[in-house]
Amino acid sequence: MLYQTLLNTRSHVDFIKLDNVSKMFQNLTVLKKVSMEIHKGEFIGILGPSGCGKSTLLTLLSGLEKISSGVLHNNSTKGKSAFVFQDSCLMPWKTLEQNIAIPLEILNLSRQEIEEKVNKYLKILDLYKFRKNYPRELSGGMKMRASIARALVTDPEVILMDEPFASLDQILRERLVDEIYEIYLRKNLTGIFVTHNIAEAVFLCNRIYIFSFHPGQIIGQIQINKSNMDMKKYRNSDVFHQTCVKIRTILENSNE
Amino acid sequence: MNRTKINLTSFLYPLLFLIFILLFWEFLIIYFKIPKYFLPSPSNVLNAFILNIKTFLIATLVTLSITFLAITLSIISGVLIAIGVFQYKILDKTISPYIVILQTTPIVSIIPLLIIWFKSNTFITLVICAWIACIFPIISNTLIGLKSTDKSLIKIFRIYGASQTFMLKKLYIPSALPYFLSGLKISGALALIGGISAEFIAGTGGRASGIAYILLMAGYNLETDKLFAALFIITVLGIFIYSLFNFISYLLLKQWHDSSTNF
Repeated sequence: MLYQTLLNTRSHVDFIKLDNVSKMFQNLTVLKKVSMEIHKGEFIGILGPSGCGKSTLLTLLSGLEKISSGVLHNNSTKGKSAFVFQDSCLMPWKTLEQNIAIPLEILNLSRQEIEEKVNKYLKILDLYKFRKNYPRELSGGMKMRASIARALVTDPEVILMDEPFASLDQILRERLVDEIYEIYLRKNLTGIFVTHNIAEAVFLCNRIYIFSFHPGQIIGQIQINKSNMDMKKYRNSDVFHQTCVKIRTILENSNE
Repeated sequence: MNRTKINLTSFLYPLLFLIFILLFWEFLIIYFKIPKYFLPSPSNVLNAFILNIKTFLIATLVTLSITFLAITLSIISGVLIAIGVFQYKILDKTISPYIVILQTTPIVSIIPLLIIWFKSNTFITLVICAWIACIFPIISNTLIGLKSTDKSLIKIFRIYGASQTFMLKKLYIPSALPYFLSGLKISGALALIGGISAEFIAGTGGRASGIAYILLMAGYNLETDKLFAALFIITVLGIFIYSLFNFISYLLLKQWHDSSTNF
């Protein structure tokens, strides 16, 4: 019900739009004529084999790299994007709370504001008890949650995730996927989620773009309909499994 | 309990070994009646050390001041050069070949030139020699550290629009710290070697004479016991400098870096 209500409030105006976007590194074409529209509040999955340019697509969307050709419209506010990488990428010389505070320091917020926001996300992600610990004293799951907290602490409009759960075990992955999904619903985030894991993408995303192997091109797009469905039941539903099989078939056919 | 036992044995075993060597050495000298000028016994060396303790103390302070002045200079100049080369490609291309020359030129070959230039102040000559000898590991290691900064972290800083100065302060320098400290440990030993080598060639005497000058004069006068005592001091100085930087490194990295789990 919450999902349905929130989804109805989400806009269907293009928030980010790519029109025939290609990216080349010297003579190597990594992405070829990619066109996609991302609406505000959508959670988009990018699925594809290794080397299909998924991570490159995220760096283009974040503005860290420039496109080689085509048109990219990004209507998100500058500085309101956040990145979560495969590794937690925490600074080992800083405590957990100092790590989470770093984007706010860059954005030049006051000490008090930083403290309030950091504490808020430490509590949301169940890390408050460990705020004074250094990353090396924490488990992989905690570090990844800290990395997600660091991404969310600036209240971003867009969250870009590059295989954030790849190094975690199955149970932890599912728990973090659930946590991310809850935050996504609460915060009206726009998410772009790069992954190899079909089930994760089907659970988390509203729409999935499937990419071919090198050079990366869109070979399929799947709209996921999970409205009116309890998310716990959804993971074990026929719709969920059928969607996974459908995506797997597209990926397998693209490899032949 | 086990940890205390390990620490105790790691200290006790080398000490027992040293006592054994000294006793064996003393026995050999007495047994074979080896003359003092050729090989003094440990008791002769100890005696020479006690008799000349004031001279040794002053000389040690001179050598230490040369070494630490050279290290301080090389930390300041080395880190600044490394940051400059890291930040500005033009500087990298312009001065990198000269940094390599600094390392590949034998220090002894430029000492006569420095003596000509600074003949009125040998102390400066010695400091410059020690500085040249020890700056390269600082530059090289700091630069590697700066360049090894996690690329994903750089992306995170850039995505929020961090300035280059902010990134240098909060990301690049802390990231390079373990590399810099590793270079510092090497530099400490090299500064002592550089300072002593320079003193050998410069042969400075008088109030500003360091431990190497005593070593040199003891050799000329066949005071082998004094020579051994000076050699012993140099060895202790080397261990002291290395241990000091190792301890500083441990203090700075113990909470977050894997290289500092034990001291």
